Formats: sequence, structure tokens, C-alpha cells
Amino acid sequence: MELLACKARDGNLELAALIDPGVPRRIVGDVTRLRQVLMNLLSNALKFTHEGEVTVRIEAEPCGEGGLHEIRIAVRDTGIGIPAERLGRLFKAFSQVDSSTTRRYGGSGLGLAISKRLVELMGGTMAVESEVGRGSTFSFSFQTRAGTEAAEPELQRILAGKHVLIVDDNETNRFVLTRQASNWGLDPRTVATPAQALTRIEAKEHFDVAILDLCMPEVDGIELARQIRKTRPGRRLPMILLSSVGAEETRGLAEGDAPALFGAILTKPAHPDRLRAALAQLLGGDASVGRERAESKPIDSSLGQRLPMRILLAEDNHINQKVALKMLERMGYIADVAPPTARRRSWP
Amino acid sequence: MTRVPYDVVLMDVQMPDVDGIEATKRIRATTSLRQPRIVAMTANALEEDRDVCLQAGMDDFLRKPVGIRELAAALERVARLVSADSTQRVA
Repeated sequence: MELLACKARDGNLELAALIDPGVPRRIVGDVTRLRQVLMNLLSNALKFTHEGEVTVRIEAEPCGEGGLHEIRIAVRDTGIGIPAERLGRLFKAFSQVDSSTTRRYGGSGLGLAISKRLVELMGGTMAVESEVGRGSTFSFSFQTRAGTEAAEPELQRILAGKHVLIVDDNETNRFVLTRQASNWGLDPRTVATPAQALTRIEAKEHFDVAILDLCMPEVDGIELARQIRKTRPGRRLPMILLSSVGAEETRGLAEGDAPALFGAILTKPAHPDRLRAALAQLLGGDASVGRERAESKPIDSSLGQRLPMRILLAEDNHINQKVALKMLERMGYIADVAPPTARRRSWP
Repeated sequence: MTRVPYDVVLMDVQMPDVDGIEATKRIRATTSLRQPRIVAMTANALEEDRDVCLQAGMDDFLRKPVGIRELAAALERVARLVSADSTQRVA
């Protein structure tokens, strides 16, 4: 994607990648083939699109035991499109839409034929939908297994050996957070009360980052953060707040001093990937990795608390519906879905 | 729709039976004081499609496939309208 982003920037084009939450981070497969197919579809899309955008969407659906997934990758463009009568010839070798295409756009007409063959070699299928003047969508799907999780080296490097202070009154949360932290190579220092946390900070124990639970009896996460700031005015300790959806304390979180106190505010249960990304961002400082990460900075999971709204989703396509609900959920919204029949009845 | 006043409707434009444009027109035609803000979601990305949606009474417009960042940005925009709506009602 990065390779082609520059090409897109030259033209008047947006290049966007949308990876659905259900897509495994790692899959078992022939990465060279996959890359070749994707590059071919993307460069075609960019070549034939003069205005608008090229979007890559990746979706995955579990389809069996042992992490088997059906992966669907669609490259959609808002380009010149392909006439219906030409679609059949598209995947044939040395074929282009017509000879004027060759003159204007160049190319051998081999790319799609090869891509289709490669997808078939992966046991998958390729399809195209297109409308002249509106654009084309090339998609392919194949089955593969989700790979075992292995941390990216640069994240691992940032987190390795860093002291993380974990403050949570709930034993299960403490256990989970501590375990996650050790799995990521961090050195967790876990306490059950704000008082214990302050004692250790006053004793000049070294911490690189802190994770504070919001809802704790007596002193909550925000008050604890204020006291930590007061105790260590010179040295800034980056802090992450874990809040709960719907908790009393969460209301007005955005108005108070919480945004200034915390580098990240995550809703519990915090997705491990997002928590780890937030930790890396705060620990990475101005390192180049930190900047790269900023591009994919975690979605504001407290949006639903900051801007509470009742949302109705009127979307008939089941997959789109699921994807939209998942995205809304990640922002802290629980939307209702309008069932098609009821919708017809209630909107006379 | 009438029982629970929604603040926002995320409206797919290409639906069978009653499409999003028609649904929006019907919602806007009701005399209900609490009108939801409506965000169109459509695979048709052209300027004129956008105009059709806005003319039908929609407030915002998202291109499909909708990404989480675009959705979040649209909700932030619409939230401003929603909060303006509720201030007006109180006033």
C-alpha cells in the first residue's frame, strides 16, 4: 500500500484501506502471490481512475475449525469502468478493453490473467463488477488459516522492559492486565489501590507509563492521576485511563481535566491491540515508529460517551450491517437496526 | 421511529422496497417535531449522487465502503447538528 500511495498522491486520488475488525492479523499463505495480485489490482485501479478514490476492503469470515477463514479482498475504484460486453474478455491473456485503451494507458493486458491464475492457485476465485463511468470493483476470495500471533519487532522493541504501573481494584482486571503486559515484554508493577500506587511513586520507584482504572472506591482514576502529577511535577509520567461504558464517572469525562491528564482513554474491556498501540504510542515518544503509529492511532472509544446519540442503522445488507455495528461499538455506540419490514410500516 | 426518537439515522441509499432517498423524504414529510439527522451511506460516489441525497433531506453523506474513521468523523459532524437541535427545542 505504501508503495502505491505515492502514485496515488501524484494524481487527484484518495487511496484508502479498510480492514474489518474480524480480519486476522496474520494469515498462513503465500505472501508473494497475494502481494502480486493486490499490487496488480491496485495499479490497474489507479491507472484507470482519474478522479475520486481507490479503496481496498478486506473482510474475513470464520468458516471452519482451526482458525479457517474466508478472506475477501475487494479493490474498488471510481474510474472509467468497463462495458458489460467486455467483462468476459477481461481475464484473458493479451486482452484489453479495446485497442485505444492500449494506446492511452499502455500495458500488456497480462496482469489480470496472471492475477486470476494466481488466485486460483491459492484455491480462490476472482470476480469483477463494473459500470462505465462509475468505476469497477475487482474482488477475490480464498480460504486460509489465521496465523499465530507474533508481535511486530518495532512494537516489541518499544515496549521491552519498560516499567508499567497498573492500578486496578478489581482482581480479575489486574490479572488480565498484568498478563497482557508481560506477554508484550513490559515489566508490570501492579497495585490494587491508589494509595499503594502513590506510596511507590513517592518512594521514587521508576515507572515509564501507567494504566489507571477509572472506577475505584475512594479515589478514582482521575483523582489519582491529579495526585500523581502533583507528586512528580517535573517528570511527566504518561498515563492511560481505562473507563467503563455507562459508568457514572464516565459522564463528562471529556469536559474535565481528563483529556489533559491522560495520553489515551480507552473503554473497558480495552481491545488488547488498542491498549498495546496506546502504550507504544506513549512510550515511543517522538521516535519514527511513534509517528507511523499516529496514522493508525486508536479509534476514540469514548466517542459515544463524549457525544451521546441514539442511532438507528437502516442497512439491509447483512454483512454491511454487522460491520457498521462493530465500528459503532468500537466508538462506544450501541445502535438499533431498522428491520426492513418494520421500516416500511413505520415510514408510511 | 415514532416511539423512540432517534438522533441519527445511518441510511443505506440502495435498499430494496423503500430506498434511502424515499425513506428520507417520508421521514421529512412527517410533522414530527423531533426529526432525526440522517447520514446517507452510498456506493455511488459521484457529486450528483451526493446532491440527490442532500436534496432529499439528508444531512451528511458517506461513501461505501464506509471506514471507521470516516464514520467517526461524520458522527462528530452530525453531533454538532444534534446538539444544536436540542438547544433549539429547549429554547
